[in-house]
Amino acid sequence: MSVEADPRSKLFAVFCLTTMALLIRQGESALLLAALTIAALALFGVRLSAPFRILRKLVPALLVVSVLQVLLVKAGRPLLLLGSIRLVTTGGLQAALFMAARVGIIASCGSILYSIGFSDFLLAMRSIRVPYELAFMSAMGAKFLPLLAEEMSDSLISAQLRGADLRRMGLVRRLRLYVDVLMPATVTAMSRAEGISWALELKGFNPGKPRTYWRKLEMGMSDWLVLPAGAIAFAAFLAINYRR
Amino acid sequence: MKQVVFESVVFSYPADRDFAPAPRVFDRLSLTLKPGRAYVLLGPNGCGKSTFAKLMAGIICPDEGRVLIGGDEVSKMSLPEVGRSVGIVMQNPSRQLICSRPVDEVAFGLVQRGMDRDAAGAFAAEALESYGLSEASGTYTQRLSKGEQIRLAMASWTVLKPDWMILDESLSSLDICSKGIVLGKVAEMAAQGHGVIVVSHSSELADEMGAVKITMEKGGAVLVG
Repeated sequence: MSVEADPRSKLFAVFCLTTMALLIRQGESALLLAALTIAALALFGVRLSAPFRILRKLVPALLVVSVLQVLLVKAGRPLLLLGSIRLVTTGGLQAALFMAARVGIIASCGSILYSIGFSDFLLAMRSIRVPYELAFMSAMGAKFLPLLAEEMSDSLISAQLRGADLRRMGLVRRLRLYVDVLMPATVTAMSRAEGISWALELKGFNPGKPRTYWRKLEMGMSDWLVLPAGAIAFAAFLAINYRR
Repeated sequence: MKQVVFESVVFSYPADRDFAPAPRVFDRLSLTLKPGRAYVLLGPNGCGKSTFAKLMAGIICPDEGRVLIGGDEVSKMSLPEVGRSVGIVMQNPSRQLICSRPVDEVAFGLVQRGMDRDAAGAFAAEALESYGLSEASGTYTQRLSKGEQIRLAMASWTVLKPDWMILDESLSSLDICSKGIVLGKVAEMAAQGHGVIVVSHSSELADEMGAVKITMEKGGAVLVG
């Protein structure tokens, strides 16, 4: 069931899920967390494909890290031996699976956060007593990240079209190119930030001043249910994860 | 010089903020562009002019159909390979300027393609002069005016001599002097057998350039004439 959820329940769910993701120690708790994450995505009306879109470009890096985890973690029962060398162990496989679960859950939480509008985020932060300046800066920062990524992508595309072949380039040259590409992107982002700050000041905006709000956030029944559900899930997770 | 063919191209952007699928930008677009001509791509905001440019430059790939340059399918080529045939001056040129000195910016592509740094520098200085940028050569590229940045981006492509040059909404923000220089270069390139595509809102510009008009409408309808 999809409902127009209150941003505070989304923030609470994200807080619970990401905290649990960092604490995964047992296979069962990873499964429980995966189920909870899928339920949260469905409850907040976020498509299940959304986290995959976020992760799409990270797949090669994730595969490399997973393989390294499998090969380097030697704990547990050996599953594949090369002479006397323990090539693959249950501990290595478990570490790779937990890493994949963590990344998937964090990407899902990113999708949930992304579904919160700018002003809703500010209202939610205000209602939980976060100083307005801090909330505004975080929201603006989050708004700028995709722009910065887009600018860097354009610079990188331009460099590649003019002959910079990333696939054949050595690591040092590639890193130098990334640094070069970061420069114009940062300068453009800063100049854009300066423009926004000018526009805001000209329109009389002052983040330090007390303000009133026309719109008020209201928690619906499903939002209230998220709070005990999150707490119960957290307790169940801890019980499964840290049982002897 | 190579011919560009759009063959039954279908394209839509993956998703919006709510991750809902977006409507199709192009629905079976078929078009052939011949080199040695200037084309002006006209149409309202959001009709897909920049998308057309990005498809042609291999920055994005069609969902269905093919974009061919000289018979080679763009989506199967790497960006450095596409760049040998298509150069693009983006809507916001500051994003594509990587080096801090204009001369290095123009020399960048030549060096990447294997030219000696000194020789590339000499070529670059010559190109800067022909684009009226000699005086700005000491200015940090991100501090140049938009008109100068557009001319610099164009100069950094013309030294590479691609078969096609795309100017994505580059002319609208130019003053008369800069516009004159750029239009002169466009005419020169077309006369040398290169193809040029200018993305614009101005039908008058197409008349002024004597270019072929490609009029696009929202939903992917295209009229050439």
